[in-house]
Amino acid sequence: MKIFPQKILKNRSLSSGFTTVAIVFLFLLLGPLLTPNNHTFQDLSASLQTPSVSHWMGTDYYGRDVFARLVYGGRITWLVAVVSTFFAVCIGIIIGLFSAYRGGWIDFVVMRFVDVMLAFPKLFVVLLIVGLGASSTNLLIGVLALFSWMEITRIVRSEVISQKNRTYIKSARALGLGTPRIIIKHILPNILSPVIVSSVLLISTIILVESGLSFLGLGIQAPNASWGSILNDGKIDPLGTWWLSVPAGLLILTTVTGFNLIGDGLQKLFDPRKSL
Amino acid sequence: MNSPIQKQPVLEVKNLNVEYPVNFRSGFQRETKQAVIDVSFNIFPGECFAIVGESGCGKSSIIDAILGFVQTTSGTILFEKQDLMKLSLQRFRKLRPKIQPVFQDYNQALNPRQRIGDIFKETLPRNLRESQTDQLLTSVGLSNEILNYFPHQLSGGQKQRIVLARALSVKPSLLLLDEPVTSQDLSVAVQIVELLISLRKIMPMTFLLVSHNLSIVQLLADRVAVMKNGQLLEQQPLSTLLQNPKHDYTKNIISQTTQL
Repeated sequence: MKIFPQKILKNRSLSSGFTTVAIVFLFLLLGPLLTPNNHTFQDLSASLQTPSVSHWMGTDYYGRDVFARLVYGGRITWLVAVVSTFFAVCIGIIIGLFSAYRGGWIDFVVMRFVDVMLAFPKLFVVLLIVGLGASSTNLLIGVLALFSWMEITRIVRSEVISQKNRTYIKSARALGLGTPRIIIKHILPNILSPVIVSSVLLISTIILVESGLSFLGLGIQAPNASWGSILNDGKIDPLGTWWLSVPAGLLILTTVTGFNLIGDGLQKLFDPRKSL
Repeated sequence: MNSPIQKQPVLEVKNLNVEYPVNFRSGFQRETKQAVIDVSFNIFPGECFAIVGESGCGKSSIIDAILGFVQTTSGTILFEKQDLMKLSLQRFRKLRPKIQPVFQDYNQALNPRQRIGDIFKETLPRNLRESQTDQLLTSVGLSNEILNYFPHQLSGGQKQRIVLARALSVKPSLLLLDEPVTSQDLSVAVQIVELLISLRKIMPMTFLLVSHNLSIVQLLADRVAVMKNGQLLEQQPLSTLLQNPKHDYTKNIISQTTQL
């Protein structure tokens, strides 16, 4: 499929999603250049200051600069979301490909395991593991990836099953090409579109889960920040200390909406029949 | 066309049986349906052997069995004296290029995400690729302009020619033609048949042609087998079959073709 710039521009979900995500990305990228303040530096004498010239978005209870915390917190939130999505997608693709390509009882067993994993109350299990283990960013990434690959596996499996009996795969086998080559060169490129769409949507889901965990104090631990933990800082007096909760909430909302719009737009781009 | 009679067949199929699982649920096999029943035939070097029969009679299952795409229940398939069913996966993979299929569905026969040029990168050695690609394209009546195209940018006839060129690129000794012109419109079908006739003249190749259409078979085949409900009813040289059909079903097919 040729993706012309006009085609992307015409696709309103995709262009608005890209713009939204790009703005947040630029904010995270260039943020440190805009403020001299350190996100972990505490100044108890400057506790809970309203936005001013020296602290663009005010300070929290410990006098830390909220703007700097939003920038660094956002970086961690994005890092967790993107890296755990990457691992979840890798696990999902490998298991889905293996299950569908082997078929038979292996496929049956793998898919029942997926059913069991999907039936687990994901958030509570993540809460339990993160709560029991020493909370760290790496653990959080691992746990989120471990409970997010199943949807990708299901998509990959159904796509591989529909592709593997097509004539071009039969022809490739008849040419004597090996299974790894057939999978990488012939099957993977033809199943990637729905996987890309789901991956983008998975990023936004993981941002929400990570923010939720951090809000509950189980995600990113102090002195590091994440948008969820900043939101938590403002929960005692949301109206009185609005500069803590509102910007963090808006950033989560904007990012998740942006990724969802990209996912929606990509779906339309890859398969126009699926959009209304 | 003269039928070349030589002693050693390229392909020997003996008492072949193929069955498929039906009611395939949850990965566990329940019942089976017999698609090919006790089929035997030989194909000699340079000849075109055709199997004629209505859709669903098991013709394509024979091709799938020869290509190793379906599990056979019993019987043997000897290709150049090697029993394909007893070969290890590795050896079978090495042998595979010698038996090339051309399937009916040309729309699905090419990877939609692969440029035409990349198809030949997979099959031709790097040092000879350019010259051999040009030769192959010329032999199927195409120019090398289409090497940058994706399959969806080609017409049905062009796609089927590319499928043929891809099959020829690995220098097969047996070409399995599974309803090669069925999905084409008449003018393209004629062009493809003419192409196959001319290829037979210039390349030393053996053909197994499978079709429901006797008029196509008449143009290409030296010997013909008639198939019904998974069984071969009779096999004869083409002229004998047309003049002296033994079976009522064969007479029926011949009269239908004449009426058309």
